[in-house]
Amino acid sequence: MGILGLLLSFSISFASAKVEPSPTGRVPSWTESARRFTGESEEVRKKAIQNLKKIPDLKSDLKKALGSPDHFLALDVISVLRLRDLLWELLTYSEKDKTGYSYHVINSLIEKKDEETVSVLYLERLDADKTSPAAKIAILDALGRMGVALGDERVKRLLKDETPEIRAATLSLIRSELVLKNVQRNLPVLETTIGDPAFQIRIQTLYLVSELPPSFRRANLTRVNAVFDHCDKDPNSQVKALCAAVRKGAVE
Amino acid sequence: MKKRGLLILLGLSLVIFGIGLRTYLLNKSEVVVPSPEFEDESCRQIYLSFYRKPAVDIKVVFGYKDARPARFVADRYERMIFIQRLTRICKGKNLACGFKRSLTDSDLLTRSIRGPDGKNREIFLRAIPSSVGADDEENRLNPFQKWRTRYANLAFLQGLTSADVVIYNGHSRAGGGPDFEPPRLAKDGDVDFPWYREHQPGFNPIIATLEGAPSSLRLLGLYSCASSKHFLDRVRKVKPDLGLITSPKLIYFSDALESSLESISSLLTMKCEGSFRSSLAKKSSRASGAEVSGFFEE
Repeated sequence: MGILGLLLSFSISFASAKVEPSPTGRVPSWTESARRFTGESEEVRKKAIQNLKKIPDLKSDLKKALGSPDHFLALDVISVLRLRDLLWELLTYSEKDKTGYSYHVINSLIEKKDEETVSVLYLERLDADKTSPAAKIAILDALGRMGVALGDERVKRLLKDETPEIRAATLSLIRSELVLKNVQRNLPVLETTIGDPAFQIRIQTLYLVSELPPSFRRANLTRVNAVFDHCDKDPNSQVKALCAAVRKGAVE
Repeated sequence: MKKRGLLILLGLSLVIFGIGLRTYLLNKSEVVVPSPEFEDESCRQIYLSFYRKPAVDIKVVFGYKDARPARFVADRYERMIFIQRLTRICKGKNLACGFKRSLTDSDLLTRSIRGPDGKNREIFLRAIPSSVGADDEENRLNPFQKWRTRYANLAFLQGLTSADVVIYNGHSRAGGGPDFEPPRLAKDGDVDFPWYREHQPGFNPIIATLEGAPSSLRLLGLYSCASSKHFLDRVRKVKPDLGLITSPKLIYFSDALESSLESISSLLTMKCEGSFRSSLAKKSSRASGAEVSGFFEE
């Protein structure tokens, strides 16, 4: 599974949508066409793409739209039309993009050969205070898919971030390594995340523990039991109940 | 002795001045909102009723925002943008801002406002996601996804009876929604819309809940594609007195986000009908397309 497979398009088929024909036969503006990507039929979407390709200064319009109210529409067009030659503008722009959406488009455009370079940039952005939480979550998800190791110090720092979604996305990345890729590192962090102040992250931790292969749990019994000893007395009833269920091995 | 006494007095004065200055500076950073002036008495009565309790419960539930046939799932990202907007420092008259996050519940945000009677009200807003990751294929295999789906679904349905406002931002599933889980797929990998139309897995529980239990809900926002066509009349039938915000057209995700924020701000600033409707159709913020009904009508 690569980033391209994940982010083919933002389109959704919706066969019964009614589309008004252009009364004058003019080519719709790029924003009108961009709105046709979402929730319309495949036929309408294809027509929208054809119309976009007829616009002579489209790339210039799209660059100007980054950071404007048409920001998301511009990003959608760049992704759907696979405008790789705007990648440099996107990489530059993404540094100040508080929405983080430019990272999703970058991820949809890069190829395997670009991943090493992009991952270095992503790690720098992840470490920067001025990068918004929404951008950091997009970056963490992308680094997880690319199989990039965050390093112990960075993981420790991210799991103390004041934004719970950043802590959750870091834990997701750790899950991906432990459970999906069988990379046996970072297990000790579960003793940290089971004590996270947000109950949703303690729940996430317990579901991760429930997914660990039995042989892995046996080989790390002390650590796993430390997690259970912590959540046995959890003040949140959902966490406490799940703790008992995971300990017994009774989770779906 | 006299000199020492004067020094002590000076020291104390400086301490008191410092405390006063700190308090002033802290309060100065908050936008002071005067009690609203209502255009008419019926508008004032609507908000006196809406703010009848000292606490207002708002639930904003982000549905499972897949992009099938692609694997991308976006609700976690949209919710983060939403939360960033709610937690930023207030500027101007928009009050969908200045919220503080709970340390123990990552979905909960709170702020205070002055109610229509000039007294304080606490706003408890929960922003709840449906997905656990950005890959629909991976989410289907993740046991944590089942928990997230149950939690979001329960929050939505419980909100229909006990919250003051519920906002759904997600897919309509061709009228079979709302939906908080990975979609049922057809053989071609796209969403199985005929199945959703036939079985109504998301909508039937709404009707059952609204019909089956007393409800304190005042406003239900359904920010999903063509929600006016799919849901409006059917909800009206079982709950004719419920305020509804729906979209007559397909709705682009950022328009839905902007419109949700505008509707929250309009409630907190107690906009009367004309201003409320205009805020949902504001072209400059792209909050275009959504319509309110049943909230201002007697």
